Amino acid sequence: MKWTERISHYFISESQHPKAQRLLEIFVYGWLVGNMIFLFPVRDMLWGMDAVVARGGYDDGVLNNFFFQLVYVPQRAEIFYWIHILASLLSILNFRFVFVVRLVSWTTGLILYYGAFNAFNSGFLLVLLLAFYLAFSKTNSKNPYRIALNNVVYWCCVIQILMVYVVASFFKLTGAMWLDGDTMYYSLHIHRFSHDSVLQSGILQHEFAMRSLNYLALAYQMLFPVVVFLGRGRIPFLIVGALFHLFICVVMNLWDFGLAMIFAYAIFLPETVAAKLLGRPQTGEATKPRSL
Amino acid sequence: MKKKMLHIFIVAILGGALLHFTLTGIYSFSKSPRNDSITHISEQYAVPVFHQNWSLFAPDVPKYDVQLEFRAAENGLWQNWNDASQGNGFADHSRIEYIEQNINTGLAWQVVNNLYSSNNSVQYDRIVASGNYLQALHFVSRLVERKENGQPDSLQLRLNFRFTPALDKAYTFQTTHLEFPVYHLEE
Repeated sequence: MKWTERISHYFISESQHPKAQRLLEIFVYGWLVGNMIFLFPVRDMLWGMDAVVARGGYDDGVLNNFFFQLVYVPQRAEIFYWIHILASLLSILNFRFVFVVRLVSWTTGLILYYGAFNAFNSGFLLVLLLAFYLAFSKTNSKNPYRIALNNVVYWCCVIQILMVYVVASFFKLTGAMWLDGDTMYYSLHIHRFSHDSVLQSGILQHEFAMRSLNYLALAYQMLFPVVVFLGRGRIPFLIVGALFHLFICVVMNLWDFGLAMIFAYAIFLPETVAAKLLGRPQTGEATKPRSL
Repeated sequence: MKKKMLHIFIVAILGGALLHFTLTGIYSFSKSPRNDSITHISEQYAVPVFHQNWSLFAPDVPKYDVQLEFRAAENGLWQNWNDASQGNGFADHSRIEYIEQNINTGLAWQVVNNLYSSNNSVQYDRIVASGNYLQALHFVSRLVERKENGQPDSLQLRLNFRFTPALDKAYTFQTTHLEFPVYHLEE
């Protein structure tokens, strides 16, 4: 079999990771719903007429004018807020034209992001990128075109998450602080990334602990793109990663970013584990294609 | 025929995905301003729909903690200095505090790059003309307005720096603050 035929066969034979992909769909759109519910009490301060986030001018252009529209027309904020919640909620389901509501969820998410960009971090951006890829996913379809699309979506999500680690590692290696082992120490002294209990605990003065945390975090990020493809070490490695991101959530107060990363790990789970988390036993027959 | 169409479809979406990740990859690895033709094309492609930034905590983090503080004047009477978020009723790690910290990052950058001396006095003109300062001013004035149900006559901002000692040095902290010029809100 020629290599082009092998690639083609791989993409059309069956959905390769339907359970993991389905779990990621639930997590991604669930994250978007949760994020907006969490912001409910301060939504008028982020996007409304009385927003505390200053609005500047941006480059003209059809796309910019569309995605930056809350900058110019804050009166629409409430409409986009509720449409985004509703669309994200429906996106968790797996019905026939789900890609329509998923594209609406992604579009309104971007509009809300640019309407108050100072209130968000890369967690929102990562989830929006995954939401875009997953808009084209339909894991229970038996249509060969949809199956091919499912497999491409799977790899897009994987590559996107790998890109996060590769780029983050690259930029960390371009500075001196990570290599010197000082980053965790200085980060935890910044009030926004710390807690009074941490600042007063005395742990920050333990040079060995601080440097160890620094090098562990750096090593983890550099090893991630390799280890997630190893069969045996993958699950323990992902558990370590989930704990690392839980630390980012709890200690560094970056709940949105930390949870986005933990949820993104769903795509790397073996099908049996994903099936268990979905509460469905893996049968392996639902995603075989119809014959052409 | 149907199989051939499917193969064409796969090649098309794989080609699209390859192009997408090539351009967003170049965008992610390059830094602003993206002037050369390839990085400029990647920026045109990535912004606004595929914008991404994975340089959190990189390459280096600040060696200081910085807080934005303000004081307001009503009928010529100045209040005490207050933290911008907490002084207006928001919790230590609330989303409003998060916005304040993002504003502080920009303002601290202005201090490093645009604060200068001339005729033995510190010059703030470049900073107060910057978008970062205007963002900070807008942020504080909106919060004060919200809390007091009205605008004060004047506002003054300052950055309160707390420098972290080096890991192997004595564990004592130096603090300093930088006061920006008074801003009259009816201006």
